[in-house]
Amino acid sequence: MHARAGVLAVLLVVLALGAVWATHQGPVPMPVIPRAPGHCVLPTASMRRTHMMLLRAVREEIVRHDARDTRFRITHCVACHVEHTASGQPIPVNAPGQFCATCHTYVGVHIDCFACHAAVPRNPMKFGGIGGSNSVQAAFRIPQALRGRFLSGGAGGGR
Amino acid sequence: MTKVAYREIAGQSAGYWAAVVACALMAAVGVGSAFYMRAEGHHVTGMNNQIVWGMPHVFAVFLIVAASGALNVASIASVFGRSLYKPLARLSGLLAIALLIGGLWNLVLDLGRPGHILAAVLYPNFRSIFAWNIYLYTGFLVIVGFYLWFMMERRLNPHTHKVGVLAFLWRLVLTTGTGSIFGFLAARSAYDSAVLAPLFILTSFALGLAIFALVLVAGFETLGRPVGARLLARLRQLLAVFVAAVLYFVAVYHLTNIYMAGHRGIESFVLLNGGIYTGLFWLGQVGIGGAVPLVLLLRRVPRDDTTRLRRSLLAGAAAVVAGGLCQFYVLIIGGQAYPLKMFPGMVVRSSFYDGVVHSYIPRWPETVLALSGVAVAALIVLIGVRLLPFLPEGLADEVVSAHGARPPAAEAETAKTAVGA
Amino acid sequence: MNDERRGQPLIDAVAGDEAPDSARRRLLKMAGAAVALTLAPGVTVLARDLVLKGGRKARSPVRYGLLIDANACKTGCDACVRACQDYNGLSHDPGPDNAQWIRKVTITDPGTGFTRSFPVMCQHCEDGACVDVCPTGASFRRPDGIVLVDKHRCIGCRYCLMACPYKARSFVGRVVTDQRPWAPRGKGTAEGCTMCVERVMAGKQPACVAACQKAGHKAMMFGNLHDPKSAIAVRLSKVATTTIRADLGMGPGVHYRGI
Repeated sequence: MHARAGVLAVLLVVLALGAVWATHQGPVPMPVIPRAPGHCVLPTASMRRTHMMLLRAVREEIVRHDARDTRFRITHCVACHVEHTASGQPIPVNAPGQFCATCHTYVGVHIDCFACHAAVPRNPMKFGGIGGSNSVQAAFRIPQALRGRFLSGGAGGGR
Repeated sequence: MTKVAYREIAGQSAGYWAAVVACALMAAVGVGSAFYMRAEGHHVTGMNNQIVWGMPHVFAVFLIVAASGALNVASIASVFGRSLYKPLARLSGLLAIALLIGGLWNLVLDLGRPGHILAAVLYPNFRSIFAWNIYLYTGFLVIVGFYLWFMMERRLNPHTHKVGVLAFLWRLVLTTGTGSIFGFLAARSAYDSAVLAPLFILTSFALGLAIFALVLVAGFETLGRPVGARLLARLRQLLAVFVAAVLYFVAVYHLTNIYMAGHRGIESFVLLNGGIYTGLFWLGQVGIGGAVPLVLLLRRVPRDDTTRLRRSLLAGAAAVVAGGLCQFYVLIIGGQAYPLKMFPGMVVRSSFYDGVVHSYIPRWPETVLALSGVAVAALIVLIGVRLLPFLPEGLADEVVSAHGARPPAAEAETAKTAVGA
Repeated sequence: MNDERRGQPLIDAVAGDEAPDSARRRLLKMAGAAVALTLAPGVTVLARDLVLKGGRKARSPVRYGLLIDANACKTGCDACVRACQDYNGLSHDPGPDNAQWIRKVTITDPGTGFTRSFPVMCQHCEDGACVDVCPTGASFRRPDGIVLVDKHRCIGCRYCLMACPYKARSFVGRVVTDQRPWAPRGKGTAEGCTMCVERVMAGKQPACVAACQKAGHKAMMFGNLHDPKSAIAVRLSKVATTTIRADLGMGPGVHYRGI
């Protein structure tokens, strides 16, 4: 009985010390998120809140129901938000300091999108071309089902 | 009528703690190995696009099949009303749960993306026997859990029979499901057979009883609790019957395959020229797993010679376990090593190893993972018998027979409830 | 327990202390229940299919498929394989754990010496074993007949690799970094020929077919099998073709001529 109480006490002390140490570090500074040129498919505030839900909902539509002309494709995200080195080489969006990594590191969210998806865009024309569906300029169409759910929803933000 | 007394083990000895620590370490190593495989990908294992399932699956199927078989002792007691086995029923249930968890441990940790396992629950595809098995396995755990509870809680004892019947039927379906994982694969000549399901059921009878006997006899010897000659003799006979039945189904499986001209390729591979698989089949599966235990278990031993009874039961059971591992190795690995028959009668060559016998050399990561499943099962048993009264204080002949011999009235009553259930 | 019954292990183990008659009845009952319970899941699935679909599937207006002419396919040419690897970002090295969505297979009849060389890829079956066995439905068939792996759902159990009679599925056993944006693939998931679904959806032919035509062999043809006016359907109606392992009844969408 005494042994158990001892273990508990030690655990509590460790936890408390950890909390004190953490508060002394001060708040983690807001990350500087690289900006992409032009406008996103939705207002930034909406995107911040809903991009994960959008991607999740749309991925099902794309893979299973062939809704390939939606604007919420991860390939589009990558195409716009990729940064380039001085020599013009694209840097993967999930590399440290890049668009996806910056935020997800800050909020401590692990994503495995790029275990399968390409983290840099490629020019399909170099591979025999695959038409407009991969290009960012493709005609955007928001599925009716998603319109109400994601465009007006965003609590307190995104117009 | 004397009651059988159950008692937790003290679990203070150095040996007990050494066993617990060893099993826990092994389990931890298995988890580490799974993380390694997850980080690096399966190319660090001996498994590839030819040998798709390897060591972890051999052990997983072995453990899962043995799990359903381990429950048989309890079933014999409460379903078939054999009171001799009643004191063993609790251990039987515990072993069943432990072995099943050990097997699932292997299966889940070997997945390419174990973190996504929830997909199997969120989007089940009921045309897949795998999806069914998820429910069969979890259902088994729940039902056996209730079964144990009914056995341990005196007020619920009268209903043990009903739960026992449910558990028994469930385990039959479960093993059918496990056998069907392979039996439904029409593409591979080694698996395309409905005999696999009953073969798996019979194998589970033998394996489960063998493991049960090993744990019971070795465990009781370590604990210094007595096991009577009558029980030993009975377990010996029963195991011999099961081993013979497995041999029969193995013979049927191979004979039907030989009879069907299209399946002769795989048969000559397993039976004659398959190298390691032929060796494992004849020496391991048939020899060590069949002939040796039959000789050991059927040899006449004086009815009261406890030492010799115990020794032959232990040796026979160990042989059955070793033979069972060989059996699943031959079936799972050998069945994949033999090339797919895409163009019957043709010699096939390609850059993708079509038409050639594939080789499999297990590497450390998957072997360690495979063994960790066994360690997990052992760990669950070790902890279980310390926390709850699973083990009877003794199984000497007087205890067992005193418990078994009931007045005729009680006997008739049991028979009635049994029919009514 | 009676002493004379002790010597009968089998009967003993089953019938126990009861009168032989009631024990037998009970056993029969139990066996019946066991059989019923064993068959129930399969019967349920079959019954559901029969009731909901009237025993047959509605014929979709689109069924993409291939026709491969082994007589025209040139031994030693691997233009289709290369094109697939380049377009989908696969390795050129045929190691035992590298994926091969398409491969050249050479068959020889040992009796007659008849030899043919031709590509084999996912056969995009009507009732593919991979679709049936997949526990999560990650392996699925689109209404237009293309069989894909939804990697969002794939847990990496490799049951589809076990089930496929064509060895058309591969498992990614390494970290992948250099994917093509139009062909996502990653460690821990199963994969196979996608019939270049992105190209097909954009109105183009699969990469292998295009490469074969470019190489001048014209051994591969792509099109809508269910459109009687399509070139492939017309051709299929004129020449004798077969499918690989037609005996399995999976209804492959890839037809072969000359094997």
